[in-house]
Amino acid sequence: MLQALADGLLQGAVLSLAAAGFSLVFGVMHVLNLTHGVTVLLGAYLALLLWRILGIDPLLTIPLVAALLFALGYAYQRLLIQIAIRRASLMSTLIVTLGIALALRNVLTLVFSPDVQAIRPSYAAEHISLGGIILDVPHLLAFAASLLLLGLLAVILDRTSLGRIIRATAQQPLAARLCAVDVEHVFGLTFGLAAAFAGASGVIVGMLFPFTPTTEGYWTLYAFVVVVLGGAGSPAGALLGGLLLGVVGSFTVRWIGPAFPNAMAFLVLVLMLLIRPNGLLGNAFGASR
Amino acid sequence: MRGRAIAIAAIVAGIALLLALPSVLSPFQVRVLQNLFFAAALATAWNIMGGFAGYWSFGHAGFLGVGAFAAALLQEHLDLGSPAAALVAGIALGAALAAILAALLAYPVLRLRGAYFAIAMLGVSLVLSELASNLDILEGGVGISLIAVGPEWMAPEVFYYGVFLLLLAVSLAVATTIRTGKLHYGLAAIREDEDTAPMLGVPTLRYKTIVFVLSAGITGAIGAAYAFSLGYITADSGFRADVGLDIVVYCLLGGIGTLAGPLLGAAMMIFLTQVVLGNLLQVHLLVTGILITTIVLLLPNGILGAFARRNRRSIPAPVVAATLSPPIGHGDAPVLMLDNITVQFRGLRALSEVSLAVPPGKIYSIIGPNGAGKSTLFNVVTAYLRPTEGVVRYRGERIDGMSTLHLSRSGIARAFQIARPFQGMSVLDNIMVGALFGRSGPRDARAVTEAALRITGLTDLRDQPASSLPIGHLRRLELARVIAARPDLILADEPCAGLNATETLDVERILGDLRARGMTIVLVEHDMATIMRISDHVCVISAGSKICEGTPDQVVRDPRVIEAYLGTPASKLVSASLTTAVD
Amino acid sequence: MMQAAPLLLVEAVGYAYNGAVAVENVSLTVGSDEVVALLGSNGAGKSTTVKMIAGALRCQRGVIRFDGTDITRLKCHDVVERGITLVPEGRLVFPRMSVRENLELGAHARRARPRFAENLDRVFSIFPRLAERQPQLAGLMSGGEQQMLAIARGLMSAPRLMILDEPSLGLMPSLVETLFELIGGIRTAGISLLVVEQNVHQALSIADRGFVLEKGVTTLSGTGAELLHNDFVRRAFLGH
Repeated sequence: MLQALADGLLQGAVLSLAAAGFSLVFGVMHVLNLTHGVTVLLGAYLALLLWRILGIDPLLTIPLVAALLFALGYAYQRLLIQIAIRRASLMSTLIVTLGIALALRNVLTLVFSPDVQAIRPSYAAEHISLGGIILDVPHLLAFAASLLLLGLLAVILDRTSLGRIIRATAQQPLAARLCAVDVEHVFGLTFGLAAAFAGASGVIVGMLFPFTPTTEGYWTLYAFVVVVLGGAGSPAGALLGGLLLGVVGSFTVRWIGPAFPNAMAFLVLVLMLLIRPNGLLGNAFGASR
Repeated sequence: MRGRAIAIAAIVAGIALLLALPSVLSPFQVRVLQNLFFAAALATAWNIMGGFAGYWSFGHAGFLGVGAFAAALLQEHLDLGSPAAALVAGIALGAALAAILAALLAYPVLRLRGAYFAIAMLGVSLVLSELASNLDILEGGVGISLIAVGPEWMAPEVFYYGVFLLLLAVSLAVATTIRTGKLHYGLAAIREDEDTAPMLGVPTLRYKTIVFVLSAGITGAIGAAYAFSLGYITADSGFRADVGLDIVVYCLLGGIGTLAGPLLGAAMMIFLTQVVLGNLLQVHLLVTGILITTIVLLLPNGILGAFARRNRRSIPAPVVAATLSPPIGHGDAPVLMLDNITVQFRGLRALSEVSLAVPPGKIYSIIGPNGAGKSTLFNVVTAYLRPTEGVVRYRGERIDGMSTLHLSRSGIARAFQIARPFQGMSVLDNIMVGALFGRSGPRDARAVTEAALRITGLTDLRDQPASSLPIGHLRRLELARVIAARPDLILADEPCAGLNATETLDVERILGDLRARGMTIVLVEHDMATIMRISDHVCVISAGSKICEGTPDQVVRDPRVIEAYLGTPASKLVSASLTTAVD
Repeated sequence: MMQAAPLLLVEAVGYAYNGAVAVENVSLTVGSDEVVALLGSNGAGKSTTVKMIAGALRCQRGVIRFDGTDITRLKCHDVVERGITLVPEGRLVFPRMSVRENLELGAHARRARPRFAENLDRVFSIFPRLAERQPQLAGLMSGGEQQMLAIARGLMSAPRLMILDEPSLGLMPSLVETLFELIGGIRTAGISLLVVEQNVHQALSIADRGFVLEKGVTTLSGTGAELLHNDFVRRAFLGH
């Protein structure tokens, strides 16, 4: 049972990181970005490329992948999402992000083939034993990396001036404008930041799980569940939600069967949406949906 | 009458044409049309919920798969004799199971709005797909084979051409029936403003459940037929997630909420993917993705939506005059009574021990300076806010904490300061919602609506979209919608705010007219002159307490009122002017 | 009275929300070192007008000039950089940030950063209560305190013209007097003011001139004294 808990926590941290970007965009801009899952996979595929061609260990590719996706995310927001937001219809951003996700999924399939891929660095098969629990090395490294990156995001949001402007814009966008903040630019930066962290999580995901373009939908859904569980906008909420989801998943695998963690995740989602749709920690910026 | 005859003739001719078509087309072309009917039927069924009610499900693939597997499993485990029986039973079971699933999901999932609902449904369909892959229904195999059910003398694609055409007809029939009834008004109200709809008496959960179940049932039936037409079902081919999203595209492209829109969208997309791109599955998602992005940004209402201006039939008013008087007469007992109402927010006492009694058939005004607690009082009186202490009684019955729907059924109507008309609907349709879901039956609704239009002077504007009305007309529309429900008691929050002199007099005239018809009116107002002209009784609130009550004359001369309401430095100036205004 | 060109010139501006006309034809001017009141009842179009001036709404008709330059099409953040700051209706402080952080954000504009320290001192001398409460979360403050913070935050952007949209809304009458005294204090710091108010008496007591808006159109203008004794305004005060 302790094994299941440990597995759950290790996996949960990765889920948390993979949801952090989605959570940020939802918390700040109230946009449900369905392109999120594809962004995660983009990170995975980029890491795959770098590993195959240049032989670089995936963890080391994180900064580059993050930087690249930051730029893409910023451009995406300024060029497309902004237009969709101005349409001011609840569904327009949802559909636009969905459309782009589908299109990108197809592009990835065409470029990389629908085959299942995985990144298996040299230490992939190693594991250590800790008091009777077996922890494998990639998972441990992923756990550490995820926590580190989540911490980094928290520092950016709390301690830097960029973070302060993002928080202010999230809390009161009109007032931010009146303080000479270029809100569209801030939204772009937020999106870029979210994409960067999504891509970084993709690198890690690529190391741990086999992936193919069709799995992108699942990563978006997981992010959604994490946000509904933990609350939107803060890395803390993402961490809480992700760890919970991870643990629920691993216990489901152990006690009900390996085919059911997704079904359980959905059940949890529906329950939370009914009981506490704003998540356990609520919206970090004080706004409600 | 001639128009009717022509329409029927056209439909019959059309059906004959469609039935004859397969004999002159190649099998490939017949198959394309078969796919078209399949797509159009699904889109029409989805549109019942997505277009009419505004609830976009991204997971209808789940119902499709449930239908498919129901049919496949049924004919695998139960021998019904003839293939025809297997088909019919399969379709029936598919429809039933999908409908039951929707009914079970309704309570939890229909509480979600907009994007949350869409994603939740996507989750449902993905989970169902997973369960299908993993549970033992496949009994170790990958899929289920289905026996062929078409007659031997007919080519299979022709047979299924007919089957899907029939299902399309059923789907259209259901959609058309809903479109021309009271249900449609209710759904439109839900789509436009789900918070205001129950205030007008629309049973939102019930209506949403109805369309959800219908939409799911039809989709399930189509899924069952689909399974037979494929001949072999796996989890992937049954729960076609891409089809689930395609359905949304068809409706978005063609025009969501219209009857022909889904058909047009389906036709265009099928043509595009099967004829132009030659069924290039490799770029299917790419095309779909770019298409829906472009449509949403450029043509948010779809192709037909861009053209269609809901030019409502302007049927001339029926000759029978309608009465707008409240159906129940009243005696002398106070209609509304507040007993020692106290409202305490964290650290702030908004209202302290306020008591008042509203006599029937009169206009009772509540006034007070800004921030005095009028809004809080209004919220308590309209049962929007539960008082910390004290009781609110309507005709002797406690109403604090009563649900919105229940309140409107009891004959209480509320008109808010911020007018919230159904933006996408015409003036007439807005009022029709009030009439249909109020205390007249559907038969009288149109007559009552005309009466309401007359009283509020909006008859000439009946076909204007509500979104284009200036604020004076919006207020009158709000009142018209409210009175069309034939309430006993109208609670109005600052109905004259923001109106100029003429418009204010209009509203005052309407309120006087309503009083003459026997309605009781409670007003919250800021404008002294209005109060003076039309109130029978006035109650003054300041800093959360009632400081004075009586006739307008009594109240306006009370020094406490002048001081509290108008501010000390100008009080001399003002009270002098007030007396001139009064005399 | 006004020899020099006005600091702010608003000419025949108009705005409609989705087809519903909120502002039809509004014109007004504000001079350097002047206090101007913008009056009118609820829904007359006052807030829409000042939002257009501040760039928060895109002016659909007409011209807005500030210090000789055309600012009609400028975006909100650029308008602040030019020197116009709007203190919005409802105060809109950043609720989960401290008083200090709110003020720091107020100084985000490039024009304000070099003068941050001196502006902060000035703000604290006008609003000593804020100096005491620097670490307090803005969302937990009372309405009056939030209003002071909102005005202080506006001052931090080093404006030449400050627009106050309904500063007395929702405040207790006793506070309103104090508030308007403070507003008078800002005036002496050399900043022009445009004050939107429903509370006619208070607004005219500090204004040099005023404009009256009715149903989206400027119908009256004059000096403070003229308006105070005008029949129409008195009726406007009492309600139509």
